[in-house]
Amino acid sequence: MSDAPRTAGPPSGYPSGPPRALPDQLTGLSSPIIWGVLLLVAIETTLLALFVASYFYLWLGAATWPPPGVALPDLVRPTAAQLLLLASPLPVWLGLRALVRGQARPLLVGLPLGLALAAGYLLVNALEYAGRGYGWDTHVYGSLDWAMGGYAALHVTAVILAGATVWAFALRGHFHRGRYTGVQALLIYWAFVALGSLLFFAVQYLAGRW
Amino acid sequence: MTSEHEPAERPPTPSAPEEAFHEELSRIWAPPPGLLGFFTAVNHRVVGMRFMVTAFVFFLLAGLLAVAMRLQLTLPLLGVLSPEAYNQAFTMHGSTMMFLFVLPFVEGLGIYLVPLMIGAREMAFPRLNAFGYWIFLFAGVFLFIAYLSGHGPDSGWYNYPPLTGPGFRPGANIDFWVVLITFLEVSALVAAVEIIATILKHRAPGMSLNRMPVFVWALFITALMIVFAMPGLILTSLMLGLDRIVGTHFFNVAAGGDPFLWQHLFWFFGHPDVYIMLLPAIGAISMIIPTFARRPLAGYLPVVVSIVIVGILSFGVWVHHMYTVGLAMVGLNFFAAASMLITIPSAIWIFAWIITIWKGRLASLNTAMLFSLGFIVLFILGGITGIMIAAVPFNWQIHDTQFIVAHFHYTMVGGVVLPVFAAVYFWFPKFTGHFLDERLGKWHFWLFVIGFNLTFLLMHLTGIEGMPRRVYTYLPGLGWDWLNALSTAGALVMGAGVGVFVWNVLRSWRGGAPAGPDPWGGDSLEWATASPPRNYNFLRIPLVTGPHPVRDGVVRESKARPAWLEELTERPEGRRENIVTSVLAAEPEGRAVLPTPSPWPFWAAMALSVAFLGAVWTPWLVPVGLLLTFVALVGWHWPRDPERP
Repeated sequence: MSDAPRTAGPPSGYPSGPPRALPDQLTGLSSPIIWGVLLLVAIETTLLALFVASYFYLWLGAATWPPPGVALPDLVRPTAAQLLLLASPLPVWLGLRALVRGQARPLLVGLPLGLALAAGYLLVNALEYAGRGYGWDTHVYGSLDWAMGGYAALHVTAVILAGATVWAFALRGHFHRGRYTGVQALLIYWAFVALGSLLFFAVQYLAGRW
Repeated sequence: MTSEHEPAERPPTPSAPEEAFHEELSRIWAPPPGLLGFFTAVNHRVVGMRFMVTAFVFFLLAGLLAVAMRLQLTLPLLGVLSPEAYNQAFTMHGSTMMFLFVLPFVEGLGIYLVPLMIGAREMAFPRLNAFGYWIFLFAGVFLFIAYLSGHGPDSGWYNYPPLTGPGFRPGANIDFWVVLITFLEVSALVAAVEIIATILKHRAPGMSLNRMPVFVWALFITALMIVFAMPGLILTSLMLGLDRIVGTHFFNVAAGGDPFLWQHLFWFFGHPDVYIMLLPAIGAISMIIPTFARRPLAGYLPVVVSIVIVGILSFGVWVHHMYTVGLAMVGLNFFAAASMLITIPSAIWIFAWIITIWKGRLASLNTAMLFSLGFIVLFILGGITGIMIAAVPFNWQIHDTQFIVAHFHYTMVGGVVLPVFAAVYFWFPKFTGHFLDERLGKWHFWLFVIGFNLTFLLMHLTGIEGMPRRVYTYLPGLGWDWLNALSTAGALVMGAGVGVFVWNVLRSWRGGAPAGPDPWGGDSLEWATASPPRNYNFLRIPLVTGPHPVRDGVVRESKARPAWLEELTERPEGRRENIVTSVLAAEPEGRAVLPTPSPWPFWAAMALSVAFLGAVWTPWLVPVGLLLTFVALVGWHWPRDPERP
């Protein structure tokens, strides 16, 4: 019974035939770096899920939600901010697709465009939070609300800083059709931040209206 | 050492091109010299060894705290420690053992051994590895500085609000715990990501998942559990930090918060954490026992599947730490059943080891094997009391008594510390090229195990007699006096055992009997290279054709090696390279060019500690520290020249 399953079948990893050169630029799931970024996304997704679970746990324990005297925020500005953020990775994605085909220019344009959209999100959301009638220290609803806003702002800022760095590398000619793993990694994290923020948007602005 | 395995043949005398290749690889992989080199080293064996040595120093410090607590409890109404000092001692003891010893030690063991076991030259992200170590070191040192300067945390290692909230525990003591534990978890997550990516992408060609050594499987599942469990702790300690530092209300009932939220989130992390610490021990024992029993592990597949099952089940048992908080009975029954279910995979491991020993030919009971057998016995005892306290009514009776202290020391010391000692005796020849002394090793084993049982077996009784945990003293005449006196004596015997071990390590590091590449007749790839391994680990990337790479002897056969592999491993062109293989079958996909040594991981960890530690003084240091971290990360990733990665 001992190790039968381990020896069954032909040995794998035995490519035969002529020598083949192994590439030293790996992309997608061949690249350990992409696996690293995916694991970072897994960690942060767990964090988001636990935060949302905590939100509903505290909501279930409350008599009224939001607390008396607090109105659900208006939808216009948050929706606009959310659309800006959701759109922000798209130009980078188009730039990456062009890069893979051999055109470097769309990425050089797409990155600043995406950064501007993400910065737009930060600006609109800052205006939104400036109009909140309560702080994080008013009640637990305020604590949750500001924590979600702060979490999203922190992550979008991180994406902007990382995106600006990738842009600087791109301007130096670092990326080309044979080397774009760095852009892939940025884009995966960027998409995660945009979608994670959408989850918070649903919890903050839609769940209470249901 | 005689061996029933294929005798570990000596590598043939190197030919001239072989020698030249060795020279070239040595040059490429050499660590930078001098003091600067100390701060820039990224090699996985250097980082792994630093993790283990640092964690062991914290083990000794936490052990001293335990001795102080035992001395205080020797007799009723002693004044060795004041109540406040006692509170700080048990909090620091628990926090240090859980966060600064066990987890970092097993991570260090994994960081050292996993690349060797899978035939890789290095881990996937060498600089990230170094970064994780510096964070661990800073967090631990800062926590002890806080303690020694009178700001030690004092509310238990799981730090329950509202006791730890700003209203009931003002002052910086808990602030330090909250920010430093959160900071420390960054290090655990970094190591987890590192281990997973390395195992998935850098296994030697041919090492498909079903040929992976059990230790590698255990580390893989452990790392996945860290990825999904640690966010619970990070989230809840961030919330508590915000409550304390900027006045949010997550755990403040008066403003709509809920302290039970802390308990749910903490144990969502905390119970998987127990298995995060246990599984690497299971993996290590599953390597040691087959080696000395001179046969393959009985039931490789069931053992690995049990590791996976425990990894999953451990996320469904956290409420068994909360039976007494007044949750609905239906919920409790679910968690009680899940807790008892874990005995099934645990029993599978134990039967697999017993069958391996039974069907094998155990040559001698050396120290590594003694610790392995001691582990099995103590782990069974801890498991049995585990089933007892998984039952809700019994749990209500002995909750927060010394019985619980006895139970978790059987699982943590019996289940983790003994295997850690076994692993050190087993792999020390690989780490240093020298054996640990066997005679001292047996003294170490018997002192430690007898002392341990004297201390903690009796503590079950003390607990059933009603003595609560975390009390700094007790009144005479309650029937606890002799039990406590004997427990203290046991602790001192245990301490003497650890002292023998320290002496053994110090004198054997350079002066022990020399060990060859494969002193035990081991069957995994770390035994197929020099002891201690060269900077590049393997002269030639191994080619794995079966589950027993060393016994099958194919590793060193160069005739069977396909030409592409020769080309890959013999033309590094001055770069540090690691082969990249596919996730399931480990078929070659490419070559990863690894980064060189760098001071930036050190600076990045320094900058991040400004953000975390600074929060104790003012929240404004958080954005400052994060910006500095960003600057360090840019330096870290800056390409050396545009045409090179």
